Amino acid sequence: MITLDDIHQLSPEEFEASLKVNGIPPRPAVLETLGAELRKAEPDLLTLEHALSSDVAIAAALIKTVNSPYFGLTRYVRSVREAITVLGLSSTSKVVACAALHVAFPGHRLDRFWDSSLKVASLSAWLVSIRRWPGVRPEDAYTFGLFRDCGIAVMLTRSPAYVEVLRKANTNPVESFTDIERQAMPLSHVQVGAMMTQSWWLPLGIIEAVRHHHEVRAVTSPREFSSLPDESATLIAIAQLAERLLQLASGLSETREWDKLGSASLERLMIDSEELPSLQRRAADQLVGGG
Amino acid sequence: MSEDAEQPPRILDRRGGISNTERHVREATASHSPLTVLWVDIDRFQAINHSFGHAGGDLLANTIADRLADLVEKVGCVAKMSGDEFLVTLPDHDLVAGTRAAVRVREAMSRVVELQGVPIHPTVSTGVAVLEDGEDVTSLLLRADRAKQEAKAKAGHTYAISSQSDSAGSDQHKREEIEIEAKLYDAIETGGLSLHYQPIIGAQGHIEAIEALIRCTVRGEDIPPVKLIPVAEKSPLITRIGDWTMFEGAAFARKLFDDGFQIKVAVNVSRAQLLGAGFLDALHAAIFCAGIEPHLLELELTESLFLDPSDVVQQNLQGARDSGVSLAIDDFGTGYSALGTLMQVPASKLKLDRAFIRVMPEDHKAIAIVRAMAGLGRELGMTVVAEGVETREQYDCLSEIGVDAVQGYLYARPMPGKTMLSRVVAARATNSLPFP
Repeated sequence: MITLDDIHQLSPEEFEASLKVNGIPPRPAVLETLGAELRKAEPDLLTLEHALSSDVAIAAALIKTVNSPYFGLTRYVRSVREAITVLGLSSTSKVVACAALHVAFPGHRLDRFWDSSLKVASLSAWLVSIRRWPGVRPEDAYTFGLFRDCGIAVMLTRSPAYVEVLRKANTNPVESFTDIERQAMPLSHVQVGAMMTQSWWLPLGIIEAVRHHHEVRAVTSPREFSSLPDESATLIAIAQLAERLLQLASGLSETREWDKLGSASLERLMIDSEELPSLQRRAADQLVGGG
Repeated sequence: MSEDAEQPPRILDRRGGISNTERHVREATASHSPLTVLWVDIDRFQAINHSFGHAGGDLLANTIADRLADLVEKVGCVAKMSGDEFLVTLPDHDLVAGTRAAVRVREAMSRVVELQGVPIHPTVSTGVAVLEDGEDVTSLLLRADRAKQEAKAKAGHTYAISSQSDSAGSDQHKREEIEIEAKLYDAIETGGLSLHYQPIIGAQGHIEAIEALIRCTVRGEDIPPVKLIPVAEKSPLITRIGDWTMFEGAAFARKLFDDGFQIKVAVNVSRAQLLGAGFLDALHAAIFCAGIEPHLLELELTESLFLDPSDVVQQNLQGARDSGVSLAIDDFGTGYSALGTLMQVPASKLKLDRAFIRVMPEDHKAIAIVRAMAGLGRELGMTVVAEGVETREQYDCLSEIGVDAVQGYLYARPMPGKTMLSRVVAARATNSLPFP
């Protein structure tokens, strides 16, 4: 969920700087190291621990994420080694990718955008922790929530004209978000996001969810629509619900995606619309709790 | 959701597990749908029992059972077959889905378990067996169990796939293909795909272009492109691999550009990719995401692509050309060689197949054919490249014929991107040719 308030108009200097941006942020070095270990027949935990510990920001974010209530751990994790042990290798790389994402877009211009992505991600993980859906883990929902709109962040840093496209797409309650983008530009943020998530080695279920997260049919009939795995459809629905809960809690609803995807999402998640008010109260508590 | 009294228990006992699997075998046989079973065994269970007592062992086994039940909730069921062994029955799972499930089991089980205040890192060995035509439940379970023992023999924390004892050669081939497909999923998610780069050297010794060639490593094992691409082409994975290759190749062109080199990077594109409706979107996204000028990317197309010309392929190629990307025809002269191809495709480069070069300079017929093809390419205003050049004699012969550029081991083998970058940077510093 990104609103116009989140984006200040670019100054000439910022515009100049944006032109120098080299496409999508490159895969962080720490993910390279993780991948190199994961590809070995016998990954070496010590090498991983060194790699992750040497980047203080990543290490801190990893430990903070593992200790968030959504992982449901009974004890406090204090070290990188413990975090790797608790999460397992593949989840560790997802959490590290999440930690690296914000760092990959330097500057404060997108702070509010990331703030709301982070809230959607946290609420998504929380939803999974209180309601289980097959094949989806809290860290998957968290990762998807955070990366879902990374394509928007890229488009905004590359093309100042995108602000206006975004305004149109956010306020249209009927037409598909990506159709509106495609009327104005050669490509949509979902393609950029899918390219970025694949280049950052996220799981295929998440890449496909990023690619199709504005399509109603991806939620209602994923297999027929694009041989999409069921978990991608569930991830899309969870993040949509999380965004809705955030909008209700904050009183801001400047996107119209719920109008288009809301009922399909609730159906996929097997949630009755009458349950929404109570979910909304609990979500608001979660947001206040800062989990 | 209300508790249903009729609902079966979350974790079945041995008897329940077998009769439940028997029922699924009958149903799968009747409906011709796939069925996979996983036989999951906790590694080093005796040692854990020894260190933590039976209570510790039970706690671990129950935790593993719970995790398995969570993992396959709504898609399958779990039965406890003995103190440390579990049966997971997965209806509608073929070998690819079943193998993916085995990978998930391996990951999910290795989360830490606290036994008497000590965090331990459990691992499991899994045997995978897919129901064969006409097979009964006993044979299926025996195969899963044997495969599990195979996994155990590989030091645990892994899975093994059962082979049918009397499988014919073609089944064996199919099984290998399916295993490669499962490994490809693994590769995409662990960064197991990479590109290596081989220079194409122009007549003055400069780099005319660089071809990107795919490499794939999964859990320490290299899968060669000749095995990987045909399997990928039969599945939706080819699109993921193709999109990634275009982006990664474009990103390498950007790296070269940042170092002051405007060198075209060529990536291979398959027919399956070009038949996809999303091809042009992916191409545009790759160029945008890499932040390059389109002319720095080249698509290499094999001639066989035009054996069965399709409108979608034509439109995609024209669209690529219109956006400024250049096209090259790869492996020209063998296979389905049709000169009409040269009229259909808006290509600017002709790459002569290595089969002709390999037998040069001894084979005079090959020389005559290469000379004719080179003349044709020149006549059409195309850049002519000879592939697979390995010896000085071949090179001399080709320069006498007058090809525009050569590619092959004589100059360089494919190398990692970092090596390629440092070679070109070092050559510039000494004002010499990077590949003399």
